[in-house]
Amino acid sequence: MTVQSLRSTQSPDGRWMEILSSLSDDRITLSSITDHAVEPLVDEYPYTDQQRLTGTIDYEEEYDNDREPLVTRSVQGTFEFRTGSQMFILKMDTDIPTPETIIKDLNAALSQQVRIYRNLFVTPEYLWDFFEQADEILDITVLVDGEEQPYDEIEDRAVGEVVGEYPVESARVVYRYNGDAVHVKYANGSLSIRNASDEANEYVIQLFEQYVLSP
Amino acid sequence: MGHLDSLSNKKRAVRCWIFEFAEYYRSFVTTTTHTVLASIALPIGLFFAGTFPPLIIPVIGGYVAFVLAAFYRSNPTTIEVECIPTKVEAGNRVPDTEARRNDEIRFANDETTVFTSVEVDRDRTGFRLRFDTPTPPVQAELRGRPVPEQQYDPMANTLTCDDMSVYQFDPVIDLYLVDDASLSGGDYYLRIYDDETDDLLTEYRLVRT
Repeated sequence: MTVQSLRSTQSPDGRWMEILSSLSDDRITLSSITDHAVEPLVDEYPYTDQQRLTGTIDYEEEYDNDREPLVTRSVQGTFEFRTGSQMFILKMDTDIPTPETIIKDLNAALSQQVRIYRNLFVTPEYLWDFFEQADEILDITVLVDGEEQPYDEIEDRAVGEVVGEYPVESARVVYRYNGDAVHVKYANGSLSIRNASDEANEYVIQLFEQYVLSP
Repeated sequence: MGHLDSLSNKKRAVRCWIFEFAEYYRSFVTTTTHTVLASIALPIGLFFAGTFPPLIIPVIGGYVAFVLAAFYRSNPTTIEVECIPTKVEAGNRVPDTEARRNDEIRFANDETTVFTSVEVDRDRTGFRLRFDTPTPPVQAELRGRPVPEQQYDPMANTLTCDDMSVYQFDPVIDLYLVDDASLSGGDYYLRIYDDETDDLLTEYRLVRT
Protein backbone atom coordinates (compact mmCIF):
# COMPACT_ATOMS: atom_id res chain seq x y z
CA MET A 1 0.00 0.00 0.00
CA THR A 2 1.30 3.48 -0.85
CA VAL A 3 2.53 5.63 1.99
CA GLN A 4 2.95 9.39 1.75
CA SER A 5 5.39 11.17 4.07
CA LEU A 6 4.86 14.87 4.69
CA ARG A 7 7.60 17.28 5.77
CA SER A 8 8.29 21.00 5.82
CA THR A 9 10.43 22.52 3.12
CA GLN A 10 11.96 25.90 2.32
CA SER A 11 13.71 27.51 -0.57
CA PRO A 12 15.60 30.70 0.32
CA ASP A 13 15.11 32.26 -3.11
CA GLY A 14 11.94 30.45 -4.22
CA ARG A 15 13.26 29.17 -7.57
CA TRP A 16 11.66 25.79 -7.05
CA MET A 17 11.18 24.59 -10.63
CA GLU A 18 14.61 25.74 -11.75
CA ILE A 19 16.38 24.11 -8.82
CA LEU A 20 14.52 20.80 -9.04
CA SER A 21 14.96 20.57 -12.82
CA SER A 22 18.70 21.10 -12.60
CA LEU A 23 19.35 18.52 -9.88
CA SER A 24 22.34 16.37 -10.74
CA ASP A 25 23.29 13.50 -8.47
CA ASP A 26 24.62 9.95 -8.76
CA ARG A 27 21.95 8.42 -6.56
CA ILE A 28 18.87 10.58 -7.02
CA THR A 29 17.08 11.55 -10.19
CA LEU A 30 14.03 13.82 -10.36
CA SER A 31 12.09 13.58 -13.60
CA SER A 32 8.75 14.42 -15.23
CA ILE A 33 8.46 17.56 -13.11
CA THR A 34 5.20 19.36 -13.75
CA ASP A 35 3.42 22.28 -12.19
CA HIS A 36 -0.20 21.73 -11.14
CA ALA A 37 -2.88 24.00 -9.83
CA VAL A 38 -4.63 23.09 -6.61
CA GLU A 39 -8.31 22.21 -6.75
CA PRO A 40 -9.78 23.06 -3.33
CA LEU A 41 -11.59 20.19 -1.65
CA VAL A 42 -12.17 21.97 1.67
CA ASP A 43 -14.09 25.14 2.41
CA GLU A 44 -12.01 28.33 2.60
CA TYR A 45 -8.86 26.56 1.43
CA PRO A 46 -6.02 29.03 2.17
CA TYR A 47 -3.51 28.06 -0.57
CA THR A 48 -5.50 28.29 -3.80
CA ASP A 49 -2.65 30.02 -5.65
CA GLN A 50 0.21 27.78 -4.62
CA GLN A 51 2.37 25.77 -7.00
CA ARG A 52 2.24 21.98 -6.78
CA LEU A 53 5.41 20.66 -8.35
CA THR A 54 5.18 16.91 -8.81
CA GLY A 55 7.41 14.36 -10.45
CA THR A 56 9.11 11.00 -10.25
CA ILE A 57 12.01 10.26 -7.95
CA ASP A 58 14.44 7.43 -8.69
CA TYR A 59 16.71 6.50 -5.81
CA GLU A 60 19.74 4.20 -5.89
CA GLU A 61 20.18 2.71 -2.48
CA GLU A 62 23.43 1.09 -1.46
CA TYR A 63 23.16 -1.44 1.31
CA ASP A 64 25.41 -3.92 2.94
CA ASN A 65 24.26 -7.51 2.42
CA ASP A 66 26.12 -9.68 4.94
CA ARG A 67 27.00 -12.27 2.35
CA GLU A 68 28.12 -9.97 -0.46
CA PRO A 69 29.89 -6.64 -1.03
CA LEU A 70 27.82 -3.43 -1.19
CA VAL A 71 24.62 -3.96 -3.23
CA THR A 72 22.67 -1.36 -5.16
CA ARG A 73 18.89 -1.37 -5.22
CA SER A 74 16.72 1.00 -7.22
CA VAL A 75 13.45 2.28 -5.84
CA GLN A 76 11.02 4.65 -7.43
CA GLY A 77 8.35 6.91 -6.05
CA THR A 78 6.76 10.28 -6.59
CA PHE A 79 7.40 13.60 -4.91
CA GLU A 80 5.54 16.85 -4.53
CA PHE A 81 6.60 20.33 -3.43
CA ARG A 82 3.77 22.64 -2.38
CA THR A 83 5.26 26.10 -2.45
CA GLY A 84 2.53 28.01 -0.58
CA SER A 85 2.25 25.78 2.47
CA GLN A 86 5.97 24.89 2.10
CA MET A 87 5.32 21.20 2.32
CA PHE A 88 7.23 18.31 0.76
CA ILE A 89 5.49 14.98 0.11
CA LEU A 90 7.25 11.75 -0.73
CA LYS A 91 5.09 8.87 -1.95
CA MET A 92 6.55 5.38 -2.00
CA ASP A 93 5.09 1.89 -2.36
CA THR A 94 7.65 0.60 0.10
CA ASP A 95 9.07 1.89 3.38
CA ILE A 96 12.53 0.49 2.65
CA PRO A 97 14.62 2.56 2.42
CA THR A 98 13.00 4.84 4.96
CA PRO A 99 11.85 8.31 3.93
CA GLU A 100 14.56 9.74 6.20
CA THR A 101 17.26 7.99 4.18
CA ILE A 102 15.97 9.30 0.87
CA ILE A 103 15.35 12.83 2.22
CA LYS A 104 18.82 12.97 3.74
CA ASP A 105 20.39 12.20 0.37
CA LEU A 106 17.99 14.52 -1.44
CA ASN A 107 18.98 17.37 0.89
CA ALA A 108 22.64 16.70 0.18
CA ALA A 109 21.94 16.77 -3.57
CA LEU A 110 19.92 20.02 -3.30
CA SER A 111 22.83 21.72 -1.44
CA GLN A 112 20.74 24.13 0.67
CA GLN A 113 18.98 25.61 -2.37
CA VAL A 114 15.92 23.74 -1.20
CA ARG A 115 15.84 22.36 2.30
CA ILE A 116 13.57 19.51 3.43
CA TYR A 117 13.15 19.25 7.19
CA ARG A 118 12.29 16.27 9.32
CA ASN A 119 9.50 18.12 11.08
CA LEU A 120 6.32 19.85 9.96
CA PHE A 121 6.80 22.56 12.63
CA VAL A 122 3.30 22.28 14.03
CA THR A 123 1.82 24.17 16.96
CA PRO A 124 0.14 21.75 19.39
CA GLU A 125 -3.04 23.81 19.53
CA TYR A 126 -3.49 23.70 15.74
CA LEU A 127 -2.50 20.05 15.46
CA TRP A 128 -5.26 19.20 17.91
CA ASP A 129 -7.70 21.24 15.77
CA PHE A 130 -6.72 19.00 12.85
CA PHE A 131 -7.20 15.80 14.88
CA GLU A 132 -10.62 16.99 16.00
CA GLN A 133 -11.71 16.91 12.32
CA ALA A 134 -11.01 13.16 12.21
CA ASP A 135 -13.82 10.66 11.94
CA GLU A 136 -12.01 8.27 14.26
CA ILE A 137 -9.20 8.73 16.78
CA LEU A 138 -7.34 5.48 17.35
CA ASP A 139 -4.75 6.78 19.80
CA ILE A 140 -2.90 9.96 20.69
CA THR A 141 0.03 10.25 23.08
CA VAL A 142 1.50 13.43 24.50
CA LEU A 143 4.72 14.35 26.29
CA VAL A 144 4.42 15.17 29.99
CA ASP A 145 7.80 16.27 31.34
CA GLY A 146 9.47 14.11 28.71
CA GLU A 147 7.35 11.04 29.33
CA GLU A 148 4.96 9.72 26.69
CA GLN A 149 1.44 9.16 28.00
CA PRO A 150 -1.98 8.55 26.42
CA TYR A 151 -3.77 11.88 26.22
CA ASP A 152 -6.84 10.61 28.06
CA GLU A 153 -4.92 8.97 30.93
CA ILE A 154 -2.94 11.86 32.40
CA GLU A 155 -3.21 11.99 36.15
CA ASP A 156 -5.20 14.92 37.54
CA ARG A 157 -5.91 16.27 34.05
CA ALA A 158 -9.26 16.13 32.29
CA VAL A 159 -9.12 15.56 28.52
CA GLY A 160 -10.24 19.16 27.96
CA GLU A 161 -7.16 20.39 29.85
CA VAL A 162 -4.84 18.25 27.73
CA VAL A 163 -6.18 18.95 24.26
CA GLY A 164 -4.16 21.76 22.67
CA GLU A 165 -1.91 22.17 25.70
CA TYR A 166 0.61 19.33 25.59
CA PRO A 167 3.05 18.53 22.74
CA VAL A 168 1.81 15.53 20.76
CA GLU A 169 4.29 12.68 20.53
CA SER A 170 2.28 10.35 18.32
CA ALA A 171 -1.20 9.97 16.89
CA ARG A 172 -3.19 7.61 14.70
CA VAL A 173 -6.44 8.98 13.31
CA VAL A 174 -8.78 8.17 10.44
CA TYR A 175 -10.52 10.59 8.10
CA ARG A 176 -13.25 9.65 5.65
CA TYR A 177 -13.82 11.30 2.28
CA ASN A 178 -16.57 10.09 -0.04
CA GLY A 179 -16.54 6.75 1.72
CA ASP A 180 -12.75 6.35 1.50
CA ALA A 181 -10.89 5.91 4.77
CA VAL A 182 -7.56 7.76 5.05
CA HIS A 183 -5.26 6.55 7.80
CA VAL A 184 -3.01 9.28 9.18
CA LYS A 185 -0.10 8.74 11.52
CA TYR A 186 1.77 11.56 13.26
CA ALA A 187 5.10 10.63 14.82
CA ASN A 188 8.45 12.30 15.42
CA GLY A 189 7.14 15.62 14.10
CA SER A 190 6.07 14.37 10.68
CA LEU A 191 2.93 12.97 9.08
CA SER A 192 2.36 9.85 7.01
CA ILE A 193 -0.79 9.09 5.07
CA ARG A 194 -1.81 5.62 3.97
CA ASN A 195 -4.57 5.33 1.38
CA ALA A 196 -5.29 4.21 -2.18
CA SER A 197 -7.38 7.18 -3.35
CA ASP A 198 -5.56 10.29 -4.58
CA GLU A 199 -8.56 12.52 -4.00
CA ALA A 200 -9.09 11.35 -0.43
CA ASN A 201 -5.38 11.88 0.27
CA GLU A 202 -5.55 15.38 -1.19
CA TYR A 203 -8.58 16.15 0.99
CA VAL A 204 -6.65 15.25 4.15
CA ILE A 205 -3.57 17.17 3.03
CA GLN A 206 -5.70 20.27 2.43
CA LEU A 207 -7.35 19.81 5.80
CA PHE A 208 -3.89 19.72 7.40
CA GLU A 209 -2.80 22.83 5.51
CA GLN A 210 -5.93 24.66 6.54
CA TYR A 211 -5.94 23.78 10.25
CA VAL A 212 -2.25 23.46 11.02
CA LEU A 213 -0.09 25.37 8.55
CA SER A 214 -2.11 28.43 7.64
CA PRO A 215 -3.19 29.92 11.04
CA MET B 1 3.83 20.99 32.37
CA GLY B 2 5.39 23.43 34.76
CA HIS B 3 8.64 24.44 36.21
CA LEU B 4 10.98 21.46 36.49
CA ASP B 5 13.19 21.20 39.53
CA SER B 6 16.27 19.00 39.87
CA LEU B 7 19.71 19.14 41.40
CA SER B 8 21.46 18.73 38.03
CA ASN B 9 19.49 21.64 36.55
CA LYS B 10 20.41 23.81 39.54
CA LYS B 11 24.07 22.92 39.08
CA ARG B 12 23.83 23.78 35.42
CA ALA B 13 22.12 27.09 36.20
CA VAL B 14 24.87 27.94 38.69
CA ARG B 15 27.52 27.09 36.11
CA CYS B 16 25.86 29.34 33.54
CA TRP B 17 25.56 32.14 36.13
CA ILE B 18 29.27 31.88 36.97
CA PHE B 19 30.15 32.03 33.28
CA GLU B 20 28.00 35.14 32.75
CA PHE B 21 29.36 36.88 35.89
CA ALA B 22 32.96 36.14 34.88
CA GLU B 23 32.30 37.66 31.44
CA TYR B 24 30.73 40.73 33.04
CA TYR B 25 33.54 41.19 35.63
CA ARG B 26 36.21 40.96 32.94
CA SER B 27 34.68 43.98 31.20
CA PHE B 28 33.74 45.79 34.45
CA VAL B 29 37.32 45.99 35.77
CA THR B 30 38.29 48.14 32.78
CA THR B 31 35.63 50.78 33.51
CA THR B 32 36.11 54.13 35.26
CA THR B 33 33.54 53.11 37.87
CA HIS B 34 35.69 50.22 38.95
CA THR B 35 38.82 52.38 38.99
CA VAL B 36 37.10 54.86 41.33
CA LEU B 37 35.72 52.06 43.50
CA ALA B 38 39.10 50.36 43.77
CA SER B 39 40.89 53.62 44.47
CA ILE B 40 38.56 54.20 47.46
CA ALA B 41 38.33 50.64 48.78
CA LEU B 42 41.98 49.69 48.47
CA PRO B 43 43.55 52.38 50.71
CA ILE B 44 40.76 51.99 53.28
CA GLY B 45 41.30 48.22 53.27
CA LEU B 46 45.06 48.63 53.68
CA PHE B 47 44.53 51.11 56.54
CA PHE B 48 42.28 48.67 58.40
CA ALA B 49 44.69 45.81 57.69
CA GLY B 50 47.31 47.72 59.66
CA THR B 51 45.02 48.91 62.50
CA PHE B 52 42.03 46.57 62.96
CA PRO B 53 42.04 43.66 60.49
CA PRO B 54 38.41 42.47 61.05
CA LEU B 55 37.19 45.73 59.48
CA ILE B 56 38.57 44.51 56.15
CA ILE B 57 35.50 42.24 55.93
CA PRO B 58 32.89 45.01 55.49
CA VAL B 59 35.23 46.74 53.02
CA ILE B 60 35.49 43.59 50.91
CA GLY B 61 31.77 42.94 51.39
CA GLY B 62 30.96 46.45 50.19
CA TYR B 63 33.11 45.94 47.10
CA VAL B 64 31.46 42.59 46.27
CA ALA B 65 27.97 44.01 46.89
CA PHE B 66 28.68 46.95 44.59
CA VAL B 67 29.92 44.66 41.79
CA LEU B 68 26.95 42.29 42.14
CA ALA B 69 24.49 45.18 42.11
CA ALA B 70 26.08 46.52 38.94
CA PHE B 71 25.94 43.04 37.37
CA TYR B 72 22.20 42.59 38.06
CA ARG B 73 21.44 46.14 36.89
CA SER B 74 23.07 45.26 33.55
CA ASN B 75 21.23 41.93 33.31
CA PRO B 76 17.80 42.67 34.74
CA THR B 77 15.66 39.97 33.12
CA THR B 78 15.98 36.22 33.06
CA ILE B 79 14.95 33.22 31.06
CA GLU B 80 15.15 29.85 32.73
CA VAL B 81 15.55 26.77 30.57
CA GLU B 82 15.45 23.20 31.80
CA CYS B 83 15.98 20.20 29.52
CA ILE B 84 14.98 16.58 29.91
CA PRO B 85 16.84 14.25 27.52
CA THR B 86 14.65 11.33 26.49
CA LYS B 87 15.03 7.83 25.09
CA VAL B 88 12.67 5.23 23.66
CA GLU B 89 12.06 2.24 25.88
CA ALA B 90 9.76 -0.58 24.74
CA GLY B 91 8.33 1.70 22.08
CA ASN B 92 7.55 4.49 24.54
CA ARG B 93 9.41 7.74 25.06
CA VAL B 94 10.67 8.22 28.62
CA PRO B 95 13.06 10.62 30.35
CA ASP B 96 16.71 9.53 30.16
CA THR B 97 17.55 10.14 33.80
CA GLU B 98 21.10 8.82 33.55
CA ALA B 99 21.91 11.14 30.65
CA ARG B 100 20.34 14.06 32.47
CA ARG B 101 22.38 13.34 35.60
CA ASN B 102 25.53 13.53 33.48
CA ASP B 103 24.42 16.68 31.61
CA GLU B 104 24.36 14.66 28.41
CA ILE B 105 22.04 14.13 25.48
CA ARG B 106 22.48 10.64 24.05
CA PHE B 107 21.79 9.63 20.48
CA ALA B 108 20.28 6.26 19.65
CA ASN B 109 20.07 5.26 15.96
CA ASP B 110 21.48 8.71 15.13
CA GLU B 111 18.59 10.66 16.59
CA THR B 112 17.15 11.81 19.89
CA THR B 113 14.50 14.10 21.36
CA VAL B 114 14.81 16.62 24.18
CA PHE B 115 11.84 17.92 26.16
CA THR B 116 12.44 21.49 27.26
CA SER B 117 10.67 23.75 29.72
CA VAL B 118 11.15 27.49 29.38
CA GLU B 119 10.10 30.14 31.87
CA VAL B 120 10.48 33.80 30.92
CA ASP B 121 10.61 36.62 33.45
CA ARG B 122 7.28 38.42 33.49
CA ASP B 123 9.01 41.79 33.22
CA ARG B 124 9.89 40.96 29.63
CA THR B 125 7.63 41.80 26.70
CA GLY B 126 9.36 39.40 24.31
CA PHE B 127 12.19 36.98 23.84
CA ARG B 128 14.45 35.41 21.26
CA LEU B 129 15.92 31.96 21.91
CA ARG B 130 18.60 30.38 19.76
CA PHE B 131 19.16 26.62 19.65
CA ASP B 132 22.73 25.92 18.66
CA THR B 133 24.42 22.66 17.65
CA PRO B 134 27.53 21.99 15.58
CA THR B 135 26.16 21.56 12.07
CA PRO B 136 27.37 19.28 10.62
CA PRO B 137 27.28 16.70 12.13
CA VAL B 138 24.26 17.54 14.28
CA GLN B 139 21.00 19.05 13.09
CA ALA B 140 18.47 20.41 15.58
CA GLU B 141 14.85 21.16 14.79
CA LEU B 142 12.03 22.23 17.04
CA ARG B 143 8.85 20.19 16.62
CA GLY B 144 7.27 23.61 16.08
CA ARG B 145 6.34 26.74 17.94
CA PRO B 146 4.87 25.71 21.31
CA VAL B 147 2.42 28.61 21.40
CA PRO B 148 0.64 30.36 18.47
CA GLU B 149 1.96 33.84 19.39
CA GLN B 150 5.56 32.66 18.80
CA GLN B 151 7.55 32.33 15.57
CA TYR B 152 10.07 29.61 14.73
CA ASP B 153 12.74 30.09 12.07
CA PRO B 154 14.19 26.66 11.21
CA MET B 155 17.08 28.11 9.22
CA ALA B 156 18.32 30.35 12.05
CA ASN B 157 16.93 27.94 14.66
CA THR B 158 15.40 30.72 16.68
CA LEU B 159 12.14 30.86 18.60
CA THR B 160 10.87 34.39 19.07
CA CYS B 161 7.98 36.34 20.42
CA ASP B 162 7.60 40.11 20.27
CA ASP B 163 4.47 40.63 22.34
CA MET B 164 4.15 37.74 24.72
CA SER B 165 1.28 36.68 26.95
CA VAL B 166 2.48 33.14 27.69
CA TYR B 167 5.52 33.01 29.94
CA GLN B 168 5.92 29.27 30.40
CA PHE B 169 6.05 26.83 27.49
CA ASP B 170 7.63 23.54 26.46
CA PRO B 171 9.60 23.38 23.19
CA VAL B 172 10.45 19.87 22.00
CA ILE B 173 13.79 19.59 20.20
CA ASP B 174 14.60 16.81 17.74
CA LEU B 175 18.29 16.20 17.10
CA TYR B 176 19.70 14.19 14.19
CA LEU B 177 23.17 13.18 13.13
CA VAL B 178 23.59 14.19 9.52
CA ASP B 179 27.16 12.96 9.28
CA ASP B 180 28.77 9.68 10.21
CA ALA B 181 30.44 11.33 13.17
CA SER B 182 31.53 9.69 16.40
CA LEU B 183 30.96 12.86 18.48
CA SER B 184 33.99 12.03 20.58
CA GLY B 185 36.94 14.28 21.28
CA GLY B 186 35.19 17.41 20.05
CA ASP B 187 33.06 20.36 21.09
CA TYR B 188 29.66 18.78 20.53
CA TYR B 189 27.01 20.49 22.61
CA LEU B 190 23.42 21.58 22.38
CA ARG B 191 23.51 25.17 23.61
CA ILE B 192 20.47 27.34 24.13
CA TYR B 193 21.07 31.09 24.13
CA ASP B 194 19.13 34.23 24.90
CA ASP B 195 19.75 35.56 21.39
CA GLU B 196 19.08 39.17 22.45
CA THR B 197 21.98 39.24 24.91
CA ASP B 198 23.95 36.23 23.65
CA ASP B 199 23.77 34.80 27.18
CA LEU B 200 24.18 31.06 27.43
CA LEU B 201 21.11 29.68 29.19
CA THR B 202 22.00 25.99 29.25
CA GLU B 203 24.16 23.43 27.50
CA TYR B 204 24.32 19.66 27.20
CA ARG B 205 27.07 17.50 25.80
CA LEU B 206 26.04 15.38 22.82
CA VAL B 207 27.01 11.72 23.00
CA ARG B 208 26.56 8.92 20.49
CA THR B 209 25.72 5.52 21.96
